[in-house]
Amino acid sequence: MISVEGITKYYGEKCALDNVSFKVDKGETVGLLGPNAAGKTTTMRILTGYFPPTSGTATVAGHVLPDESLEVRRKIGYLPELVPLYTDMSVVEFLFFAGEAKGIPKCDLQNRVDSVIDDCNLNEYVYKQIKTLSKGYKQRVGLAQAIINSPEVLILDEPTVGMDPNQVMEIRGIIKKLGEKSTIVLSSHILEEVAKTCGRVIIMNRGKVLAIDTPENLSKQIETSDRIFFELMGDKEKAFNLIKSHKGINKCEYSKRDILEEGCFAIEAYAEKSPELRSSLLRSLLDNDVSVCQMALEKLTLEEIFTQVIAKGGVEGEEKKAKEVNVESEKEEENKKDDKDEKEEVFEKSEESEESKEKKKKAKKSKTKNK
Amino acid sequence: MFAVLKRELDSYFKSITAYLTASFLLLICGFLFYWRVMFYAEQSQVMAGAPSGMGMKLNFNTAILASLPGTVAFVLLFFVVPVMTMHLFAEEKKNGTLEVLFTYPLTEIDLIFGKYFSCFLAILPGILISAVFPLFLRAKMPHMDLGYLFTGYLGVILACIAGISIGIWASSITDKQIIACGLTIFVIMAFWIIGAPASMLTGNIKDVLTALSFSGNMETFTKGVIDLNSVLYFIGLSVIFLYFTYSNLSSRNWRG
Repeated sequence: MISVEGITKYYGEKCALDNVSFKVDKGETVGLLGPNAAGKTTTMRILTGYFPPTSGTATVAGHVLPDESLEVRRKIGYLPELVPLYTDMSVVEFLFFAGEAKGIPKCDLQNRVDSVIDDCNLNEYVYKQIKTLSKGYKQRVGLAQAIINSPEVLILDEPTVGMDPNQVMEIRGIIKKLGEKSTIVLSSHILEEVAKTCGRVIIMNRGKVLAIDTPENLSKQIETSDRIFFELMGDKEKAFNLIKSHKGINKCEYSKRDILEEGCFAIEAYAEKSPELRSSLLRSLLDNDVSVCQMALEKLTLEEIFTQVIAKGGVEGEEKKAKEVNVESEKEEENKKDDKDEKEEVFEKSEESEESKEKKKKAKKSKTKNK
Repeated sequence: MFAVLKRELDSYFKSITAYLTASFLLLICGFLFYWRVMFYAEQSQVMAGAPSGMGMKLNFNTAILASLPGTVAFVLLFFVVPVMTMHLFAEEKKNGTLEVLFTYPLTEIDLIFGKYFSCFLAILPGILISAVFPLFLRAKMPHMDLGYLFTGYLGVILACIAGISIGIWASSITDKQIIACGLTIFVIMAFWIIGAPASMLTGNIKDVLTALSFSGNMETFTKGVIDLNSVLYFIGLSVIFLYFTYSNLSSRNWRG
């Protein structure tokens, strides 16, 4: 139903999408997941025919973009992120306008308006002015205008953003119902949102597709790693080295977070998912006279999940790049001490920011000194 | 296009904008027309009392009928048109509804002409009502030449469509209505006063400046003449500014 092939989009000199490709089958509900400025909205705007890509092509409902933009627009429904509506109109007036603008024949228009009002549970608000509606109902009106032409493809940009939990549940219910009739592409920066409504997830960051998989498979990948937050008291370097050298710890760094207790310091460690590891780590710290004020297992943020997805080679291109960086880094590190430890860290280094690279170097130096 | 036209017309007549601008137009033009008629009546009495051969011949057609369209055009272009056009694209840009419209099967031309004609249709009743003022005097002025009124109001309508296209263009380049309004007034004023230095000049420059000015082209209509050059001037100006609007709206394709 949707086929995106090598789409690139530049805003002036800024690259918003870089060679993005993916496919969506008929009847699928697919989620675009990514942080702000990941390229989700740009991808959606290209799919709706709002603007053309700088290069590459997309096929939506059998029509090629950008050449057959008008045909595509007849077959899609789109709900932008901020739900722009004509607030001076009543719900029914707006839906009639949307229907007429989308070219629905006059004889069918009344039936379509009645139908979408039912689908989106707007019966009580038909004659109310849109400006008087709550955020949740405005969202429903937005959805209603998107589906008034019975679209083959429904594109929803952050459909539950800024809503309270009850409204989120209601909108999710409506989307699920709509998914029975149309192919849906929705974007979100909330993992849970996508996991609950989509059969497949496309993870994007900085204009690139990082991974395409089912929410279950992605979760499995993600859940193999934990972040453990330590608030400790005692010898700082000793504690850091103890944690870092502990078996099963992938990465360790001093935390930037504010420390609650005076005289304490904080360390964040990334480890394999294992309660045994955490208990042995705790024992090791206590045995070495490091006081543990707090030890907490934390959920990874979306940014960290993305880093992990890249690290696990979610996309071939990314994997190749990572390997290239790996090779270069390995060459550099060959002359240094602690060869084995170095190689483990190089893979991480390839994906980390400059800031964390510097931190690692410092940590390594301290480790070498210790030895 | 008709969906957009209908929506815009609904929007004009649901809000007070159309009524307010039409009222203002009729109030100003009505007052000035009344004032001119009273002045004309006064002068007529003076001339009637003057010794035979000493009085000046007064002509109602040139003194009253020819001046009314000029007044209407001035109020239209410097108040009604900027106020009526300022929201057309600026508001859509600000609220984000333009993004929705461009994902409907509508072209830029559908949008531009939908808004253009809706604005014209919203202004037209005010113009037509103002044309009724002289007709009230028809019983007392049987020799009234309605040809002056017809050509004058043809000029008003042509100036109005040119003004609307300038207003639509100004509204398409910003998301702030007040800036769109100011820019419309500025551009119209530039076209209005460009002919002012012409009276002090001679030769080709004078002809060019007169041909480019709103007031110069309007004048031919108020004199009871339908000049093809003036007709083409207003239509051409409309086409040029509507094309600029089209270019602005299409720029999203490369600007994003």
